Amino acid sequence: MPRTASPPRPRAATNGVPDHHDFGGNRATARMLLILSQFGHDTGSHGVSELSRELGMTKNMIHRALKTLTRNGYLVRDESGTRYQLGPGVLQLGRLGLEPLNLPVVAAPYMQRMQELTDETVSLAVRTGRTVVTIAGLRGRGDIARRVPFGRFVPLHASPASRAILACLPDAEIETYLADGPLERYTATTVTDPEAIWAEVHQVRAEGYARGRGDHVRGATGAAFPILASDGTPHGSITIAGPDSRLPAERLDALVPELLQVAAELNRHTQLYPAEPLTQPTPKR
Amino acid sequence: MSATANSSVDQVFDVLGLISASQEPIGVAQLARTLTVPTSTAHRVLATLEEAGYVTRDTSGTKYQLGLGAQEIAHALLRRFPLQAVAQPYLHRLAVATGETVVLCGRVGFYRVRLASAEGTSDVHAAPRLGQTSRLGDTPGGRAIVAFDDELRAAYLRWLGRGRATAATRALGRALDAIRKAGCVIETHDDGRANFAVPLRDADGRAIASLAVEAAESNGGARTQRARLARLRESAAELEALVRERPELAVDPFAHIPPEDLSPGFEPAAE
Repeated sequence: MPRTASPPRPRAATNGVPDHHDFGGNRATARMLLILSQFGHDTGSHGVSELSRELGMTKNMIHRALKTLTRNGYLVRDESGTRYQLGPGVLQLGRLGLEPLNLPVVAAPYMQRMQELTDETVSLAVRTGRTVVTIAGLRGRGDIARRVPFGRFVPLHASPASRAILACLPDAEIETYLADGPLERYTATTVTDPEAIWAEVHQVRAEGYARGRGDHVRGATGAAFPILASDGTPHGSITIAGPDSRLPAERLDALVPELLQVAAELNRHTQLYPAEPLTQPTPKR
Repeated sequence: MSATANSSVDQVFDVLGLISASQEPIGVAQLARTLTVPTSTAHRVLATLEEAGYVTRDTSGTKYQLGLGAQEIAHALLRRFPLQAVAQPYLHRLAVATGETVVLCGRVGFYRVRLASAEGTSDVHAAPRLGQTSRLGDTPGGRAIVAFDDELRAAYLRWLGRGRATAATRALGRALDAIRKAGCVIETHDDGRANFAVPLRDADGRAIASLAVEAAESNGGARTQRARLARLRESAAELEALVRERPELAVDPFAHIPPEDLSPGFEPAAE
């Protein structure tokens, strides 16, 4: 497994400074980096009390770290003069330019983890207009496995991979999609009624993933997880799928929490980037 | 807090700076040599940075490169520019119309920063990277900003000449005059490649950012280039209309700090 895109560690909880280093200076450094990371999560300013509360560190620790970060240009005081924002020193981190998003490369280690967790086929799909298309995948390990449907175009309502993407589009776009039709049927379980599709959309939004039930390919089932861009619109989706017999509802239910965790880690990476032009509706002239 | 502890905390920035500046992943021994610190110290700092997600190892498992945590912070700085969030569809449309890569440039002090881009649709196109910094006078995108802000221009030339008018500042001043007069930056290279940039101006006429087309090929003659420039101006006008409607999009996140105090801490190479 390539380590270049090694999955990030889960975000540290309050006072999540590792305790196992013997060096006093190291603890202070770790605390300082944790504080700086807070500024990477949003675009706002942060104050001493707030950071102290959120990170479970004393105000004195926060003060000292902010002083060091300010001296090195990574933070500056904001307009209020009492709070802090990212400073020009951060430009150093982008000195050689930030990698543009290469979705298949970024997703690869996470797809591999999903395959290891499930032994089933994992695939990556992106939107192209009214359909989604699979652009990468790993075959499941069982004797019977879902084929990776490379290059197959599936309408936005007609598979879990599709619905994971559909559900993350703005409501107006979903309306247009449903109104423009046609809403093709593939199997007896394909949902084609607009109201029922809306119900699916709400379910995906509530649960964070889309569930399949042989609605595009008979005999295959699975779950699909949205891959989001910085504005919350979809880059694509990642799907695990296998034969019905190996993926009964209770097995899928058991797998979902861990798969959601992997998907969340992937999203932390992809949400750094705006949506790809392919999936971006062009503004009306 | 003793001075030793302070310097230990500061070492982390030396290591991070070195890894940020390195084209290739970098090993512990090389890092220690470059910073003239013991290998054990380099190890310790790297372990802390890795634990916090700021650096990550490459496929060999022995060399280090910037990690997701560091990238997150760099992206967060770019997101502080509200224009970045709304410009993407405009950039994309322009890239499709011209076939060339289009970049939205913002400003941090006396430096131009690439905030957003859309890749050209030609088979061969420029591939600029986001977050890259250069001095305002060193790129078309930067010149398109500094030429259309009188106060900034005066301060920039003073800063560049360390308070004195030099041959370099006079030459740049003349170039900026010409840009101001033409309303845009046009640079034709010997091989026929052309770069364009136009300012994005707020309601007061001051440049808040710029749009640049970076052409990779010498495709098309003067006529194509005129057409490209016209498209670029059209997109800039659309974005300017958007900014007039929503002035909060023009906010400079560093407006409260004098530009001379906004050093990125390294000297970017001219492009």
